[in-house]
Amino acid sequence: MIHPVRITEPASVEVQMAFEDFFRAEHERLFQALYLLTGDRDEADDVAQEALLRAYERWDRVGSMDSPQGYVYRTALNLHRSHRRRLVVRARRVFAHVPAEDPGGPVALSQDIHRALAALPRGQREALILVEWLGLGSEDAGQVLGIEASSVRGRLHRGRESLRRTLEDADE
Amino acid sequence: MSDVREILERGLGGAAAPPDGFERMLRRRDRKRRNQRIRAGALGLLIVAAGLAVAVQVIRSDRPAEPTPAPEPTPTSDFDPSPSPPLDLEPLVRLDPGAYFVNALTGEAVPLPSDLTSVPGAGNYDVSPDGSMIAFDNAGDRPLAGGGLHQVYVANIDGTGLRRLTEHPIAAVEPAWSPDGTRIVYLAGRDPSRRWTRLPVELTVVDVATGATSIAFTDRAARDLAGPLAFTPDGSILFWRGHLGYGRRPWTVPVSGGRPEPFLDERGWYSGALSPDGSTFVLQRLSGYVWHNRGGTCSELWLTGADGSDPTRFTGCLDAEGGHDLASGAALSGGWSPDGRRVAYSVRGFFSATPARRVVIFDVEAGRSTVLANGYGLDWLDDETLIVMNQGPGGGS
Repeated sequence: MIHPVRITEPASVEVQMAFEDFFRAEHERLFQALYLLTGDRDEADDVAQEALLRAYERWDRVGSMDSPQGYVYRTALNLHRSHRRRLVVRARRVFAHVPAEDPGGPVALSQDIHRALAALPRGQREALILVEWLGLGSEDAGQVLGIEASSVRGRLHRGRESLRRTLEDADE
Repeated sequence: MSDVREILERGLGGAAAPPDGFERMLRRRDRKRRNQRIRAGALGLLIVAAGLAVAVQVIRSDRPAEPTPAPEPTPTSDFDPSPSPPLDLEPLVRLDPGAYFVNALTGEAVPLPSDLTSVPGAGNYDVSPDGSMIAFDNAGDRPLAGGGLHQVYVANIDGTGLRRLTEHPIAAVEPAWSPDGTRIVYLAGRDPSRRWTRLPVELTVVDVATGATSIAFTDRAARDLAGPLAFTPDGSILFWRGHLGYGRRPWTVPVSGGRPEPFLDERGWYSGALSPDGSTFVLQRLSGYVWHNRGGTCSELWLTGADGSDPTRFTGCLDAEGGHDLASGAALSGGWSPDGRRVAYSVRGFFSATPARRVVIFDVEAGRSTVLANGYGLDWLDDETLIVMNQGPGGGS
């Protein structure tokens, strides 16, 4: 004989809170990763908000993915690249260069580290932040970036070397 | 920690995201929707203007004007509620706050023995197959917490012999009896506050007589392993696993442990219960978010074959004909009666000032639902008697 199943109720409240739980767990880390990537608090906040909103709008699908975080990171990186493109076009039109300084944030990014990160090619910078800051493995980072894990490891190696070398040069 | 991570931490300088991120995201969503509506409206106006211009040209050329197609109406909501069958929310019996044995046919209600409700937060009652004992946890309808706050208890059905069965350091919840009534399986280690730190969740089996425990499955990925726990006809443990309450599907694992196997191929269900004879599933599906100025989900109940075949929906999101706003839909709540003739579920008025729950009995053969009582169902004592909990206005009943 099979015992009748007891069902916990209500499910909807927990589910309603599911995305909010996800948001609160991921928002800070995503913002910090984007801040390291962009060196700009406003842009980091804007991209993080938009990426999480897009996940929210598609949560019935995103929530069932093996890695909702991966979806958000990939979206955020795509948005960042798109933002960058728009900024570059606008900057070429209006300014001679894009200002590199964080506009008066209370906790300014260390200028040396910022310059060292900014000097890295974009691919190396993204791989460094996905792996070193967000803690993804090279397989997962490869999925986010749309490249092979071996390429991620290559970018990581070159990125780490470049970052250390640039910072050592700055110390001298 | 690698030296590069230390460099990145120094570079970050302790920068934190601006506050109220979630609320700002909701405002951003509202702005986005408003702008989309404005754009859609502007497009509609353009189409109308273009149609008028064409019409004027036609009239000027002395040709009979053809009707201009009207623009599609701009949707005001993304949510298309699915009507439920008409449901009179007035229950057969109105219960004061508390837990009761309620006759599903007559509405006659008898309070549970006071010993069974003496543990604060007592809930998730599960009656042993022979009806002589009852297991429960003290998570009730409250949010789960860690720190050993929630444990599993057992007692005789008359409330005597109450004892705590578990001493888990994090949490032990959602007990379910084995078919032979000698063992109980429960979820151990589930601490929602640490859900995102990949805390392992265990399916633990305890021998009721000796207290000896064994672990049938440890989910180290903590992919939202959840109840309701149950047993399949072959005696395996049935549990639910997926992500964040979405796209879950049932899995089974032998009581003695082993590799879990998916019970249904299809994802997309949230929860469910297998009928006592193992032939039919009642499954709960989340149909999407409700955008009526407030977030939320609506869940529907479906009947399918044990393999997920021939799905038939028997509840929806809005009781349109009755005029009741049941936008959070129907949730499984009590499950199958032992004779497999009835399914207990609950509905909830989601947008009212004081959300109201009603436990509803679905007669499978007749295909008809009847509202039994205010509250929600927990388990069947016998073919006609359901344990119903009403937590009062603060608890949503």
